[in-house]
Amino acid sequence: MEWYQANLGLIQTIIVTGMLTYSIQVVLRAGIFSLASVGFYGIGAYTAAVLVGTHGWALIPTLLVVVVSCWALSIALYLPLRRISGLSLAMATFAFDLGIGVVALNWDSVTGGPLGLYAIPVAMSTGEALALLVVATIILWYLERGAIGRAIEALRELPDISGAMGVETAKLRSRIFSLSAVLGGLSGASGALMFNIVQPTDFGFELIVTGLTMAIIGGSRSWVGALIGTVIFLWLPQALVSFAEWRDAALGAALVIILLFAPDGILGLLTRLRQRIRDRRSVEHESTQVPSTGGERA
Amino acid sequence: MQNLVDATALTSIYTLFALGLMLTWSVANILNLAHGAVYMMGAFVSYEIATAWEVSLWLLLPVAVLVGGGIAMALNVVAFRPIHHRIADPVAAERITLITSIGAGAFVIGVVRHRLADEAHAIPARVFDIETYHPGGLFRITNLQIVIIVFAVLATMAVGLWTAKSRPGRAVRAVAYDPEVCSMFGINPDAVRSIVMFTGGALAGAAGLLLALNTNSVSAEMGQGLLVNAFAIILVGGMGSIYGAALAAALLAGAQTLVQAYWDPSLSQAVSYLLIFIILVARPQGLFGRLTSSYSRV
Repeated sequence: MEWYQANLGLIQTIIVTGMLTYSIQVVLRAGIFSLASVGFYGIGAYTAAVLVGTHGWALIPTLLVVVVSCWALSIALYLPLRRISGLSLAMATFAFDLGIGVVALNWDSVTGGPLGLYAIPVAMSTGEALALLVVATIILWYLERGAIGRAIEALRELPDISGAMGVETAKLRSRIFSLSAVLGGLSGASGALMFNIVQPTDFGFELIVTGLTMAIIGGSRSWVGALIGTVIFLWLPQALVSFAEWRDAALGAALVIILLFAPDGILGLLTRLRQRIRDRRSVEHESTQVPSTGGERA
Repeated sequence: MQNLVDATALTSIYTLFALGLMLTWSVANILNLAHGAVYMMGAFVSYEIATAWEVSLWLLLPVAVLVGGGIAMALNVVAFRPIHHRIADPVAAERITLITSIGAGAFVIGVVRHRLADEAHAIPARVFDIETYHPGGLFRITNLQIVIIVFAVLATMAVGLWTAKSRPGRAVRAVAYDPEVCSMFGINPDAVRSIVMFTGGALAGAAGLLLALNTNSVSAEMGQGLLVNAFAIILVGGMGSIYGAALAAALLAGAQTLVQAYWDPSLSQAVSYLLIFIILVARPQGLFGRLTSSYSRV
């Protein structure tokens, strides 16, 4: 109990950030190189802050508004982006994120300008945020199994052919993009309502790098990887307090090293390890080994 | 009229920066987000040298060129090339390279930030005697700005002529078109990519030094804001077109200067975000897009 109290801030941060990492992971897994999660994080944060802080709304209606508005906005955003992929999509969504930052910085009357909005009443408890995260986990888990799971993998691995194989690529892509937006928005809203302050500097280039790092380090194949990445990213620096001033440099180096040697992230490493153990066991039992398709892809 | 001068100087810096980024993107399919860090290193190393010894700009310029080029080439050898060789799928390689460049950039910036310790730094004025001229009383221009403009013009023409006429330059264009076929003709694509990265980094390093002198400041993050602008320029100009990039740089610099002068200075960055969106929707291949590598999707 004491441990819980002492680490409450960290736990809350992990929950909020975990949601954001989910948002990034879910698009990466589908092969959509979108960085828009961070922009929607900002939108969700400010929406929640304004509704609860300035207008005194309750939690549930606020969250509903966040979900609906992020969904609607994502559809509008996706319209010009639907034909673009890869690097161009990454940069376009990157520009979107920075654009939201500009709006937040300049729309003084609503967003409080550079100072942001503060003294937002605590409208969300840790338990409620955790519940939200669990719901998101269930959704992501569902999207990783069965036909839909395979459809999304096909979307990533064979974007050109999967349409011919019966995967509704356009619809799926759009829906996943919107899901990512909603998750990002909810992440921002949770942060605003638990940490009571929203500033334009909260979601900029740094958050984009941080989010990507967590998703990639953990492993972009699954929500499990997203959680692993989030926990490691947020927990480890606590353990290495003296590293504080070298944090960004260490992070950057870690990212490069992981990508060079384990592009599938920690989850990828664990999966491969488990596969190797299984292969060894199956050899021992002299059953036929199914050859695996070589070449790890991210 | 003064705006024209400012815009021209800005165009020059943008061109130098964007050219390097565009070259590596169109030739090696690498969107190097560490380019901002490379740019910064040109300024940073010059700053270190200038504060320790009495040197002039004419010595620092080659140094910045070598530093920028060297760091970029080192990045290629240490990070981008191994990734390219390890990951078969070009789309995944693209993505991993982008994120790796983010990590590498963050690493370099983190190290420099530690060294600069968040204080204001500037390159000592003794490096170059800045004089201001007032031609005809119409506007104000400094000799430094003249140096910047002349350097940018010469560098752009040099790169343009080099890729068009010289043998290594044509090898560069060939690799941009199809690296595998090139290897069958005795061109080493890896070597060409390294050369291109060196060239891009060299231009950026010089630009960093020049701008640091012009704005009288050196900071770890000085290159980051330019990345989005460079992206807008590359998109508008079109991949593979050197003079297109210069033209697009002029367009962007002009638009930003006008917004800054007659509207709202804090919105000048938003011009590039808007430009990115407009061009992606209206004409994704840019104004003069040609020579792209077979895998890029814009």
